Amino acid sequence: MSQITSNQVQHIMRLAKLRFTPEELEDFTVQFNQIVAYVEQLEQADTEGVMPMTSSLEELNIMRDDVPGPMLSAAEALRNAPKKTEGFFTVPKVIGEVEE
Amino acid sequence: MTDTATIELTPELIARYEPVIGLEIHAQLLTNTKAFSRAATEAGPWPNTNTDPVVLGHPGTLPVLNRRVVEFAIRMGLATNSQIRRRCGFARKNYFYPDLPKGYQISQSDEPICYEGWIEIELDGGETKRIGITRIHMEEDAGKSIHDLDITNTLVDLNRAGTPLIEIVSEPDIRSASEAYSYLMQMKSILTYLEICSGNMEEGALRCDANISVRRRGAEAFGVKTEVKNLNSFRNVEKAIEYEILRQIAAIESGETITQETRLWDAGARSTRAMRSKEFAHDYRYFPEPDLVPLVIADAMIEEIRAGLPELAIARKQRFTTQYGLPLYDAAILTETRDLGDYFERVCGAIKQQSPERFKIASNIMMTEVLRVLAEQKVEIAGFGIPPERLAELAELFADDVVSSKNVKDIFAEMLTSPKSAKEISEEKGFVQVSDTAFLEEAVAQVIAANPGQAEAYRGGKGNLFGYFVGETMKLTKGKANPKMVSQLLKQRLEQAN
Repeated sequence: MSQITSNQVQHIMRLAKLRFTPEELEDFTVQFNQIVAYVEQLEQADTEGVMPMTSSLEELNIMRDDVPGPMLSAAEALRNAPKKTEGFFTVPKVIGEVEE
Repeated sequence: MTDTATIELTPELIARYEPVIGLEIHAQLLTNTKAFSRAATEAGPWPNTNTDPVVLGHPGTLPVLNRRVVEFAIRMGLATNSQIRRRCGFARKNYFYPDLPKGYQISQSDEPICYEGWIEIELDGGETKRIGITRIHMEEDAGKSIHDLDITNTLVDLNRAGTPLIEIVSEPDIRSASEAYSYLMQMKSILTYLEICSGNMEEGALRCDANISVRRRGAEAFGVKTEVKNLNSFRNVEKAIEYEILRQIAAIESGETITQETRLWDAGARSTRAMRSKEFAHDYRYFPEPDLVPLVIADAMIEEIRAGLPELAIARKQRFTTQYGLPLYDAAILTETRDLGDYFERVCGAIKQQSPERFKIASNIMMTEVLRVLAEQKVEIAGFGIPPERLAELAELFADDVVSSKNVKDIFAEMLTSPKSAKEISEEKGFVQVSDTAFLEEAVAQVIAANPGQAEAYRGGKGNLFGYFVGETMKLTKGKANPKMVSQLLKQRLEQAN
């Protein structure tokens, strides 16, 4: 069984730009491990010869025509943004180069 | 590892190594709307004006696939001799970055829509080489992060977010920087002929990353590769690959080992440098996108798309040499873009007396006059003012010896701003070339009579005096004489009297 460390939780926290108190970090670490343990029960199922199921939907080929619909104004698009500057979302400086 | 290897790279040393290159091309698709939402792709000058709740990744929104994205991907697949996967789906590629609002990019992972294709590229010697296509998959673009407008913050514009892309991954079949350049140009040609991508690298509509390694000639195993990014022009792709090949050879020769890493091309410094190492190795945690249903592609859809495929540049170029009798050089230039080739074919179609000589005259006017004006005005042929039928008239005026080649230039210049026909302009300007034999014989006779000394010298063997007689005759007729006829008549007359 894999074990999630508090360092890993901290890493996710930083990536998601969240801040936890030490108590919260400990709580979340416990919860992460509980979730992983819960999901790991699936490994007990015998899936030999079973087609992987990627969706519970029965339908196929749901597509739409290439016709524009309504869009949001910049003001509306930015309404929930904690910080904005002249029509841009503003986020803390991204340091370094991140590979896409 | 350092970049300061100081080994001297002699041609003999370089020749001991074989570069192995694969390219990844991202092509923005020319759809009206985004890949998974109805927001328009065409963005104005203002940031964040092309969004909707799906693009912004608001909770509760669901993606719906744009049918045209699938059609375009299949079009590219067929044009590159690829297999089309009959059943495929999308996957989430997860990573954190501010210009990726959902925290994942919808892409395709182990089920790309097209696979196992190939294209042919032309090498310098006129030979062709086949380059394999590993896969072509559909995905959405991210937004844009702007790091240099604000000192303390990064600014995010989501206009581009969700724009459909296809990623075309080649096999490691490319063996030099110039082959990589040819491959990329060929891909651009195919994408633009198919009218699925603008092909503009400077604007980011076409992006290219290169995987590069070198190995000793004769070796089976590949060397350690680096991935070079930030190649934002066709020439930069060639330069960056050239640089990286030499850097790797120099490193190996000085006993270093190549590290598998991502490097950025710095066009200013003309070198590549390692990207700052990331804290953690990337794990994109790909998993099937649960919000989209599987895609099953029917044979009928593939056949319909196949039937609508245009003739591609490489085939058209060959046809231009056979159907119009053009030299390969002309054919290559006139088929560079689909619109230019269409224009030329319309000019030829409008020529009344169909003959290879006349098609060549049309080609000459296109290459010397039309392309020059397009370059000067920085417009494409679609924005060119003279309709092909009118250009055909000009070509015929010259072909019929009514006007001289010098007149063609002047009439063409006038046609750019005038709705009048080439014939009307030439008549107005008194350009009409004189091909009246009696009149020209008289002029030639006069010139010879006025220059007895030169005539004597010519007959005595000074053949280079011939041009002098042509010039004098043209002067006498105020440039209106048909030069071809003048030459003929002069030759006859000068030799007769001998």
